Parts: sequence; structure tokens; C-alpha cells
Amino acid sequence: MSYNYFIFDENRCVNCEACVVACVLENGQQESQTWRNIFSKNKNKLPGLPLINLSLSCNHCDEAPCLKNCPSLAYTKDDVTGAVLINSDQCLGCGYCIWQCPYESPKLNPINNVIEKCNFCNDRLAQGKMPSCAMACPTGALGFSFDEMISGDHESVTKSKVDTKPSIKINRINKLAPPEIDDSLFSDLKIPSSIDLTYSKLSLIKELPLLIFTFVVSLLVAVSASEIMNSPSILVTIMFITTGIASAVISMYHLGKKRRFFRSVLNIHGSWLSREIFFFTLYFILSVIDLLFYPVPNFIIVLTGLLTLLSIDLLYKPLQWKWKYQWHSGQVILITTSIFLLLNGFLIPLLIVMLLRLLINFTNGFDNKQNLILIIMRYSVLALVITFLLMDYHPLIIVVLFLIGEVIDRFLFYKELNLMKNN
Amino acid sequence: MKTYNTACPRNCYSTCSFKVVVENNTIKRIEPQPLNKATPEGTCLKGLSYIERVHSKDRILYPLQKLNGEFVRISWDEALTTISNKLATYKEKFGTHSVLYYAASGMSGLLNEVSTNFWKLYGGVTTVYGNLCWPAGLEATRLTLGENKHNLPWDLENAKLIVLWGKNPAESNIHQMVYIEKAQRNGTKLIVIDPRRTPSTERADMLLQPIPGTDGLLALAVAKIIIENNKHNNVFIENHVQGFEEYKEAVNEINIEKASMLCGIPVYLIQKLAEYIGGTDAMTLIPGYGMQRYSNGGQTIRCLLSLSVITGNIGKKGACWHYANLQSYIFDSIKEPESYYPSNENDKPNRRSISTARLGSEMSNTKNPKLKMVWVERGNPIAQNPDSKGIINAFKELDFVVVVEQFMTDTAREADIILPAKSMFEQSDIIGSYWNPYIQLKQKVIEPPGDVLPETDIYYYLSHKLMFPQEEINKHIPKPSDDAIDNWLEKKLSKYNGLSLEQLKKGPILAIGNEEIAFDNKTFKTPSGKIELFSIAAKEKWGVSELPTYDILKESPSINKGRFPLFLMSPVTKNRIHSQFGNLDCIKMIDPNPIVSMSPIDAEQRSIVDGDQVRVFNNRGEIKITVKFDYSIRPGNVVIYNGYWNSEGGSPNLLSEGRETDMGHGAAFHDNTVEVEKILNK
Repeated sequence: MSYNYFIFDENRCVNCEACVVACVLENGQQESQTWRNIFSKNKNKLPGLPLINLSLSCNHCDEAPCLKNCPSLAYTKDDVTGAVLINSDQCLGCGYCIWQCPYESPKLNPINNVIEKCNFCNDRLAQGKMPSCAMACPTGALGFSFDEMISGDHESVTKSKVDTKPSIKINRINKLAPPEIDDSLFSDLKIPSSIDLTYSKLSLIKELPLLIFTFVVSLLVAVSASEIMNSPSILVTIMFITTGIASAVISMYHLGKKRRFFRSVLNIHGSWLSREIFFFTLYFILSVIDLLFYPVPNFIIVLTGLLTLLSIDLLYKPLQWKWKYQWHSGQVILITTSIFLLLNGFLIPLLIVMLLRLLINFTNGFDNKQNLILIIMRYSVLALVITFLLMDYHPLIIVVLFLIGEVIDRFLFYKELNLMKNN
Repeated sequence: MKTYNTACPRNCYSTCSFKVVVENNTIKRIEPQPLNKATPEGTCLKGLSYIERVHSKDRILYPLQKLNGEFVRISWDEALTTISNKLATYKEKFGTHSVLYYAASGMSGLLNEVSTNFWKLYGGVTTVYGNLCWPAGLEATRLTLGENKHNLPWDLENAKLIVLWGKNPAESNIHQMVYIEKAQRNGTKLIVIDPRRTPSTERADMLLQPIPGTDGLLALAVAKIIIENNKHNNVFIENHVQGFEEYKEAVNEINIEKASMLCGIPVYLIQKLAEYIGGTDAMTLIPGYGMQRYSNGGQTIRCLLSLSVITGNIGKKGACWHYANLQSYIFDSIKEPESYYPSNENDKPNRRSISTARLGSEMSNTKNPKLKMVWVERGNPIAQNPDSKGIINAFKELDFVVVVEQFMTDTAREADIILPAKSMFEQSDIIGSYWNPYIQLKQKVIEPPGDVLPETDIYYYLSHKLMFPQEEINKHIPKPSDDAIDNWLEKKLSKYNGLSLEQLKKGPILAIGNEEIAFDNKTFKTPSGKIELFSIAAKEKWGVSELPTYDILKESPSINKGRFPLFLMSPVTKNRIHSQFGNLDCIKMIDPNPIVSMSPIDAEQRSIVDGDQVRVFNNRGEIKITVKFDYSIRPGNVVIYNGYWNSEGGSPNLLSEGRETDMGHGAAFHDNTVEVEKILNK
């Protein structure tokens, strides 16, 4: 049970942003993104649809996913006030908490590259005063209670499948229907399909270093499991080791504080990100020992590789709520399996796996035209692979083509990954 | 750390009470003051931003003089000597009317009277008449009801129907939304009439989006339907209304289909509006101030007000004409709008006046004597008066410009000498409100930073430099001390039993004699003593019809034959009070750059997409600005919020014409048509 929570009334908020300004004035100027924001459903004011505002910052969840998943244990929860706090000295700037948080509370400060966020006005709470935002609201839409939160009142603000037990209670809108208007004024209005009717979303397509890293890891693990590694040539050995190191270095580019990378394994207990890094390091060191110094049983290497892949897929899990079966054909475990089957010539199982992935694609549907084109490209490449296989082309050409298809799939995975801020 | 009660003196309906926490001569915190029943939850974001504004790095803290185009710091003695020498020279060579004293609504308070006193002692100067804000509507209301007052803000809860006609309280009067929401929870219907879909419309039952400037016709069409269906209040009309028969006859001439076409509102929605208005006995009609800034503004307001009159929605619970409530203006000898009229003979010394609506051209064209100098305080006319360019030109023609300012505004940039202006926390004063019924004290809570002096001090020193007779100075200008100011205010209060500074320090006080329900006693201070639908004064004074009529605009897309096919609307935003506040970091954070909002339908015809850089222009000027799509605005209208500075490239007055409204000497800058064109990348 927790004390201290926000009370928000959708009926009263008119997007005046006094709460946002109060926060800025209380906590100092906030770089590029304010800690508190008003999220408006139908913010483009499409005619005939209601517009509903929601003032959100950190909800200081009882089961805060940011805190639980932070690889460097930079988050703490104040036992007395319930505030979820970030210690910026310990933050890697990896941004994993941004994915985890259903409320877009953590913000990456572009100046110092670490996360900053709402601190519940913790000092004020300690003095028995409510947070500045709630005190400032001139319409009474954003309120605050010092009482104990009744568990049924935890309001799930988004469609998040994870119940984070946020410290916010929401009074929903009474009058959902928008005002009657003269629709004919807008009969010529073209509404782009890309328009966002939900609160907002975060796209991960910019995370290129991560795409490269995860794809390379899935390729390496597939290779490790294949016959080719039983007696690798010097060329294969060199390629394997340089690719592994290069991808690890590239992945660090995504960190705000690269020098603190060693902190990323501090939370093996709670964070799939820490586990990913831990297992990958283990897998890679064992592989290098095996290749250069002393044979390590192959099943141990493959096992650590698989654990890495599992960690990767699970660490992206919070972003996958939108997919019907929460699977995507570009997940690393599927990519590795497919590459493994191809490298070892298990064509019938490969066909089955590829059909399964096609099925996943169809059940998920296509977000937009661009993605549809990419999927068509992806399967055209696959068709080419099959044709070349039947025509007995050089294996290298076939493998390279196949990998191109897999990269497109992984790209689509990132492209479609986003945080749905739908209520 | 110490907490004081104070109130916000900006030109704003809400006039919030608030508490201010002060530590080490620094404003630390702005907190709600629940004693003000109209604003119990606290100020808007602008009020909060005082924490930054008062201590802003950009604030002007010293007298500045422009030398070779650059402002350099000078001492008060240098500044006052230069100014007094100039004043003495102009008086001797050209007469005192060669000096223009321009003051606007930047900060309200009784002490503003001291400025006028000084200029009278100087010998009388040129001043401006009229007002940029609301006079057409005030005059329309005065002609009809005799006075400008309305039920107290919280009476809204008793309304069964609230009509927001051209008002967007969510941005201009946020505390009103609290009462609207409360009323709606009890089943009150809300109708909004506005070409835009504003934040105030989201929970409304109906939104009508007329073509700008046609509101008067829409109201008359509704009146016709109400009367035809016998939904007007005969008893009320018989007892309290003059001219109903003439009115009825006139509205009967209206062709509903034609009106529908001209207003851009389908007939069935006009009928529906008539059903709503005719079907309730407790309608509060809340017109905004935007509609009366058109050339037909006064008549438009008379048309709207006639709906409240014929349905008997005046002077009872939940029913009023909610335009302006001057019940707290108890200290004014002449109330608005009459105080805006140009000089009359017996007030000669201080009153050669020129029109504020046509400030630029009248400044340039004034002769005998020509203007040599302007003194500007509490105002930023270059950004806020119509015809920005004309005003800049007129300023450049002058010999000497003095601007009293806190920040480097468009007007301050044109100054020869800038005098640093006080903030609201640096001198005590008493303020009223044109919405809530309170008399409030805004207390001095900190010493002015830098070399800042309150205007009263500046005038005191100047009057000594100019060697005004000592006894006149003593009588009209308080000495530069807190005690002298307090005494001066105390003297004003002493006319009213029960009012004292001590008491006002504890919080807001209801104005003496204010009426919870305005016109409860059905006494109307019109020539006939009744509500005048038919007003002889309207015709005599302003040359408009005796009856409320729909007059077409001086400028509209249909008149200029397609050259400038879009209406430019320039409403207020929540982020500023006119040109104040927009320069602060905490406001820039949420509102960084000027934007023009337009319908994608209009944009498509011009190959413009969301986010494009465009040129908004007409024959008077152009603004280069970023487009933001507004999917719900009535096509044919574009919006640039008023209050952007020219220096950030966005004052809509770069495009407006200096023109007066049909009555009240308001500024008709909303008759403004433009074209928008994409700026092609080179």
C-alpha cells in the first residue's frame, strides 16, 4: 500500500499547461522536453472526434518498471513519500527506462545524456506540501491526495499489460460525445492515415546501433551452433571475433554515458538488459577461448548464446503490446533459428519456420503502406533465395541474399516497435 | 521566508488573487488564494511565471540611452536631466501638445492617475482616445442596458443554458471554465459559437462556426425564429424593454435562407440554436471581445444582446449578459467606455487627443503643433496597435522617444531613452476587475532591483527638475516613499466605509454595493429608463441605426474580390496577455515560435503542408511564419495569436489597418484579410 497520489479529472483539464510551467519553475529549466506534459487524445482536433487531455508526469508506481529494469540500479524509491527517484550519477543514459515506462516519464537530457524525471517534488512532500503541479492547477483538474491509495484506485492509464500500480487516480470523462457541428464544412478534409489518435508514441527506428548489435548477435549464435564452427578456418575465426567486438562497441554508441558501461550488468537480478549484456559477454568470452585457446563444449557456448537471444527478445517485450500474439517475425530467436537451418541445409524445417513467420506477419497486420512495401521486399528476397536454391547457385550468394531478407525483417521489427500510449 | 496576499494587475478578466512567498528580496513561490471565490484554485501559467519574470536576466534594470544605435546605461540624473531639458524645450518652442503621452493597459492600479496628474501639471499634452480592447461592446451594452455589469462569476452555476459567443475562456479567463464545468455537471447545456474549435468547445453540446463578422446576422435570424415561434418573453418586454415593435418588424424582414448563406451556418442549426435560446428561462450569454473588434462590432454586440433582452434573460439568477462587470471600478469618476471618448471643451488642458486605433497615421499627420516627442508607459503600441508599420514610421519621425519598460519590446527598441519599469511586486496599488467583484491590494513585497523606480518616483523627480510649483507637486504626486504611497491609497479608500489597506492586506474584499445579480431591480440607466432595443442615442452619437442591425464589414474576402481570400483571426492565447510574458523562458518552452494555424483544406489549395514556412500577406505587409494544421477550424480562416513581437517576426498588426469600430472608438483590427503562400526553398 502506498501513500500520496495524483488525482486527475478529465472533465476539468483544458490543456492550460499551468502544471507544466509550475514544474519548470519548481525544478529548473528542463532541456528540450518538459517533465510533465499534457497528452491529448485527438490532439489534431479531427472533426467529429472528442479531444481529451491528460496531464502526465511520473506516476511513482508501486511496481515501477523503470526501477525494476534499470541495468545500472540508478533508480530508488523513497520509502516514506513513495517517490521514484533517479540518481543521475549512476545513470548510463541507455534509455531502457524510457521503453519500460508506459507514461513517458523518464526524459533523456540531451545536454548531459542522462535520464532526468519528475521527483514528486519530494522535498515538498517531506514538508507535507503537495507537488507544485497539483497545487498550481487553476481548474482543479490535477489534484493530489496524501492518503493511502486503495488498490482498486490505481488507474491503468494506458493499455499496458503490465500493471505498474501507478500513483494516480483518474476521473474519466462524463461527456464523451464531441459537440454537434456542421460536418459539411469538413467534407473536403483529407485526413492522413498517419495521424495519431492516441496519446502519443515513441518510435525506436532511430536506434540503429541496437539493430546492428542484435542482428549480429543472432547471426553469431546461429554460426556457433553450426557445423562450420567445428573446425573453423583462420578466416572464420578472425571474422567471428572482429564482428563480435565491433558489434559490442557499436552497441555502446547508444549509451549516453559510455564510460559507465560497466554499470550495465549491475541488475542481473531484475533487468533483461543486464542479463543480455552478461550472457553476451559470457558467450563471447567462451567462444574466444574455444577458438583461440582451449576447447569449450559446444553446447555450453550455444546455451549462453541462446540465453543472450532470449534476453534480447524479452528486453523488448514491454514494447510489444501492440501485436496481437506479442510475436514479431523479426525477433532474434526466429532469425537465429532460420539462419541456423539454412547454414546446415535443413530446408524442410526452414520452410516450416518461414511459413510460421509469414503467418505472424499477417496476423499482426500492416501499420502503413511503407511497412507493407518492406514486407513485400522481404518476401521477394526470400522467393529469390528459394529460386536460387532450386537452381543450385553458389551457397555464398544464397546466404547473403537470405541475410538481406532477415535484416529487412529486423528493421521492420524496430520500425514497428513503439510504445502505444493508448488508454 | 514571508507570505503576502496580492493580486494580478494584468489586463485580464480573472484578476486572480494569489499568495506570494518572498525570501531575500526574491519571489520564491506563487500560491493560490482561496479567499477569492472567483479564482480559488490559483493563477494561470502566466501568474506562475512571475517567479521568472521579476528576476529575469532580460529585465531592464537601469536607464538606457540610445547612442549610435546601441543602448548604453546612464544614470537617473542623466536620464531625467535629458528628459526635462527636452520637455522644457518642446513646451517653449512648440507648446506642450507637441508631446504625446501614451499609456496602455500593461498594469492597472489607482496610481496610474499620477501619470495623468504630471502631464496636466506640465501643461497638458496630446493623449490618445479610444481603446484597443472592448469599447464597441461596452458602448453597445451601455446604449442598451445603461451600464456594464453582470451577475457574479459563480452565478454561472445557476444557468440552464450557457452560450459562449466568440469567447474562449479556457485561454482568456480560465477560472470561468471551472463554473462552466460545474454547471454542466448539473445538466446545463453549453453552446459555443466560434469559427475555431477552441479548448473551451471540447465539452460543448453544439459548436456553430460562422463566417467572421456575421454574428450579428446570425443573432437576428435566431431572434426572428424565436419571435415567430412566440418563444420571446412578452411580460418582460412589456415591462422593461423599449422598441420591441420596431425591432420585431425589422427582424421579420430577415430571410433565413439568405442569412444562413451569409453566416455559413445551415438553416437547421440556426433553428436549433433558436430552440435552445428560446427554450430556457435561464440563459447566460457570454460574448467575447473579439467580435466587437470588427468594423461592425458595436452593432454586432447589440444584435447578440437583443437575444438576452427578448427572452428576458436579464436580471435574474443564472441569466445575464456576461460582457463586462465594472462593479468593482468604484474609484473611477468616469467609467468606461465614456472615459475613452475624445476631449470635450471643458477638459481642455490635457486633452488634445488622437485615435488609438489610427495611432500611426494620426501621429504622423497631427499638425499645430506637430508631435516632437512621445512618452510610452504600460504599453507596447508598435506590436499591439493596428498598423504596426505606420506606428514605427511615426516613431521614427519624432525627435525624442521615452519608453518606460521592463523588457526590450518592439516599442522599447524605438526609444531614445528607456526608463526601467517596476514590476507588480515593487509598489503597492489597488486594483479592481472587469469580471470578479473584488477590490484588491497588490502589495509591495520586494525592493525594486537595480536602479528601477516606480513611475510615481520618476514623475516626482521630473516635476522637480521642471520646477513645477511645490504645492501642486505635493497635491498631485506622492513622494518617493512607501509611506507616501500608502497614505495616497489610504486616502482613496477613506471615501468608503470599511475599506482600509490593513483590511486589504488580508485578502480581496467585495466591492461596496456590488450586486450578486446585476439589474436585479430592473433599473436601467438609459434615457428611457428601460432596456433600449431602439436607441436614439446610437444613431445620434454613432450614426448607426437606432436598431441592432447587421452591417457588412469594411474589409472581408467577399469585398476584396479574392485578392486576399482568407480572414486573419488574431485572438489571445493562454500563453500571453497580449504582448506580455511571451519572452520568458518558461513560456518559450511551451510556445517557442510564432505559428499560423490553417485548415488543411485551405492549405491543400496552396500546396502547403503542415510545418511549411509561409508568407502571410496583404497589401499592408507580410509575416514569414510556420504553418500548423488545424483540422477543425472553419476553412477560410487563418489564425495568428496576437501578442507575438515584431522582433520574433509575428505580430499580426504588421497586417492590420488602423480603423475605428462603428461605436466606442475601438480598434477594428479584426477586419483583416490575407493570402498565404508557401515560401519556396531556394
